[in-house]
Amino acid sequence: METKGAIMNKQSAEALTPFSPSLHANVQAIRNRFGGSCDLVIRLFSSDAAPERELAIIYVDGIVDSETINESIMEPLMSLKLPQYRYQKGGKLLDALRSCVVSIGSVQEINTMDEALLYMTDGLCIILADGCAAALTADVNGGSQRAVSIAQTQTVIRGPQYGFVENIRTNISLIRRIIRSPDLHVQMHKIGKQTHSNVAVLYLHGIVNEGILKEVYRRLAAIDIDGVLESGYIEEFIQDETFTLFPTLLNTERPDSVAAALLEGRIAVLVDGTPIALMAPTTFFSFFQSPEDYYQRYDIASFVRIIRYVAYIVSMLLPALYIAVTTYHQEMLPTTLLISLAAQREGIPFPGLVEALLMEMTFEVLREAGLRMPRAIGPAISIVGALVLGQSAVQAGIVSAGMVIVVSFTAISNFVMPEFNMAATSRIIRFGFMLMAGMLGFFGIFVSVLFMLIHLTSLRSFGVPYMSPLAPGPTRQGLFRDVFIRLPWWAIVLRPLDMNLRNPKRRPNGKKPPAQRHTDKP
Amino acid sequence: MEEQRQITVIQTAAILVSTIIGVGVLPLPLFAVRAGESAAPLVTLFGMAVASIGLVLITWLGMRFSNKTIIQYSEDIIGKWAARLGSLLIIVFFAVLTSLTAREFGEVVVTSVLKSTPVEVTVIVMLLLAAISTRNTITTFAYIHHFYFPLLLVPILLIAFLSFKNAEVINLQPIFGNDLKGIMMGTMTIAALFQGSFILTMVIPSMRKPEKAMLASFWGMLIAGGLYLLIVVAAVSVFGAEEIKNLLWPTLELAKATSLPANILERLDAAVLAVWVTAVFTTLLSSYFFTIYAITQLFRLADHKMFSFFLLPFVFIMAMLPQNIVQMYDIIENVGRIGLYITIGYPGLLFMISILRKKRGNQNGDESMDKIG
Repeated sequence: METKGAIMNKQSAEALTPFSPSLHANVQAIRNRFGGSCDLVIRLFSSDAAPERELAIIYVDGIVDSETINESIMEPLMSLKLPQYRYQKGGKLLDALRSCVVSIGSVQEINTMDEALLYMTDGLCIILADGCAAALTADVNGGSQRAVSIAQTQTVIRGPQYGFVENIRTNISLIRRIIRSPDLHVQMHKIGKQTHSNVAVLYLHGIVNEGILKEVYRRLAAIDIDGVLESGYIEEFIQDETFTLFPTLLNTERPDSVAAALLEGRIAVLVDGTPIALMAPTTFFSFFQSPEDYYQRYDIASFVRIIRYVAYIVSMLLPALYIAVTTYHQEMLPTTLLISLAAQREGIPFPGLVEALLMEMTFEVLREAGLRMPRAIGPAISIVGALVLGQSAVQAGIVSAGMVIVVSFTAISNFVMPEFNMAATSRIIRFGFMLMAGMLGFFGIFVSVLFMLIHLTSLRSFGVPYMSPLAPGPTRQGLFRDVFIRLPWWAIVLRPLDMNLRNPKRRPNGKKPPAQRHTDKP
Repeated sequence: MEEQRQITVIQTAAILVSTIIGVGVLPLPLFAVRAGESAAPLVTLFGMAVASIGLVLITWLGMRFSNKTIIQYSEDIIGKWAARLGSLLIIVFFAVLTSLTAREFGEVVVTSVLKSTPVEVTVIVMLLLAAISTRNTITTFAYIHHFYFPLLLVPILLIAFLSFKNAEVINLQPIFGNDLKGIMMGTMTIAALFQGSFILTMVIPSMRKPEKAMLASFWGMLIAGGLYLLIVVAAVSVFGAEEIKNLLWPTLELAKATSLPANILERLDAAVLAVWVTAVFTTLLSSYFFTIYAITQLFRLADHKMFSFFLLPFVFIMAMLPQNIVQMYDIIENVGRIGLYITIGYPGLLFMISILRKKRGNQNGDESMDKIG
């Protein structure tokens, strides 16, 4: 799984330090390089295999599995009783150790100090021998990590419950267990001058668009940063457009979402140290699709999906529409409703816009407070939010009851979105709409909506138009079967993205396999 | 260069419809009724026929020279300097058209919804929106039109069908009207409302299959003309010819008179006007885009983006020149009639000369453009 090639390529530009033939010189150099760090374990010993020559095992404590080291390296090496085994001077000793002694799956020989340092910080163990200007690495990656557990941020009622963890190897294995095909290719990159974080690119060979894949590699290779702590770092480097409120990469902590994306011909990017994976290319509409849409029956899924679209529009526009109607277009409302609204607003000192901004800001503050504070004081926030700001503000005559309803409904609508980053977009845009509504009424709202839509149509995600298949229109029949509604699985013939996949078809045709009605009769 | 030749037939038709349908729909029944009273639908039909002639001419020309825009092939047909004069006229005309569209819609908004907002604000907002959007390529331009197409159809159909509740067939009789001479004059005014279709001359060179341009223009004209006719019939049958003469924007009055079933919203005019921003925007975008695209080609530049903001002050000042609504509509009618010479007469002339001189643009494909151009 390790990409030796990638490391070598990165290093080859700089001058590499070769090993010295003297074991003690090598050990001393490594110790110095680590600045005498206490978690560096250096074990010098001699083996029966080569009694006259000293050996050394070096690893970083805590990121390796000490039990494996003991069982598979130390024990065989120290208890080796193979007098018939012949070796010659020089590098041959290492060859002999590799082929006959060390019982670890992934072992290889390296020649430079720089590689050794990199591998050691990556959780590998280095075996050095006196008189050899080379070393063996053994993959003994281990140490404590969080166990695979329930996905916290994207929950479903029906469907697999587990989520990614922080370890990239575990995460890749989770996906491998879903897609059991050699066509699932995994390419590992190291990004970050200091962190040397593992970044894996996953795709399904034979389906993915090679051009887009190359573009992903190109953008990843161009990243030059000291550290990558989360996939958000990568996302901001490889997204198409920085100055947009709309996310152009999907993220998820669910292995089944990643597997689904791979099957759709997308490319997934996993980053070591975070349970959040990235998926690209993406369209606007994929942010409205929850994994559960595909597990529940298609009619329920379609209904819920329509609700999501409506809720998104509501969460963006409702306060703005309320401001526009109460400020400029009172004549639109039916008379009874108008009178009731006017009566509510009678004692309110502020114009509609100020009232709305006040309440929206209050809600955003409450929401952020709820997110950041320790769990123990949660109820306090609900009391302050619900009672003090809701009821009392109305009773005190600072805001109208109608406004409170509007703000609450807007807030609830925002929670419907399955993707947090897309939901956050509407929270920000909402303020722009409110300002325009306060200045220019419906005209202002629609001018801003137009502006937003123009912006959306001009966005691209790795070359795929963001609003496809709606704009530009679909290039093939049947692309709309999984956009606004979801048809039954047997009817979804095409992979959803309009992006010249190598293999755009999921199924041979859109027909349901025939079912026998009377199964009990012969 | 990679984005060349991506526009489909449907997108072309959508461009035509959304360019033709714009702020002109609001006073449309008034123009038609002024000319022919109860023969207003007939006037609209005639206007549509005249406009179709112009559209057929430019489609033919476009298909004959399927790699070039009118700015480029006119140089092949009538020579460099005569063609440059023609192109200059076209550019000026479309710049004026852009400014008048923006002003007209600005007046509508200020008069009917935002009563205390200065007209300059609404005009500059619309122009800015158009200017920013013209910075895209012609393919994105087509996407935008295609995308907004439904937003344009729904309100018109909604108003028309909801208002048929109050329609009186008697208002439409006699269908031939009483004044033949007036019908002829009115035909020209209505035909002028279809001038947006001239954008086709810019779109054909980017079409995936230019040979299908005629199909696109047929559908474009049919849908746009059909909607025009629907609005005129609805307005005349609801209000009657005499009443419409007193209304400045009968279509908007139609929206005021209709209400949604179940009393959800009592009046629709503010909402309709808001949605109408889309329709006006697409028209504005087309004429603005046409203007800067034509300038770019006239000066043989590669990038049209630099002109989008350069042109803005000129268009804005032109939009502010008319003193009031009455003067503005006088100008609009006159400019429209003069425009017919440019959008129908000039292509007609080009077409005849190209047949007489047996000029075609397609034989040697792209190379001919470099040699002659």
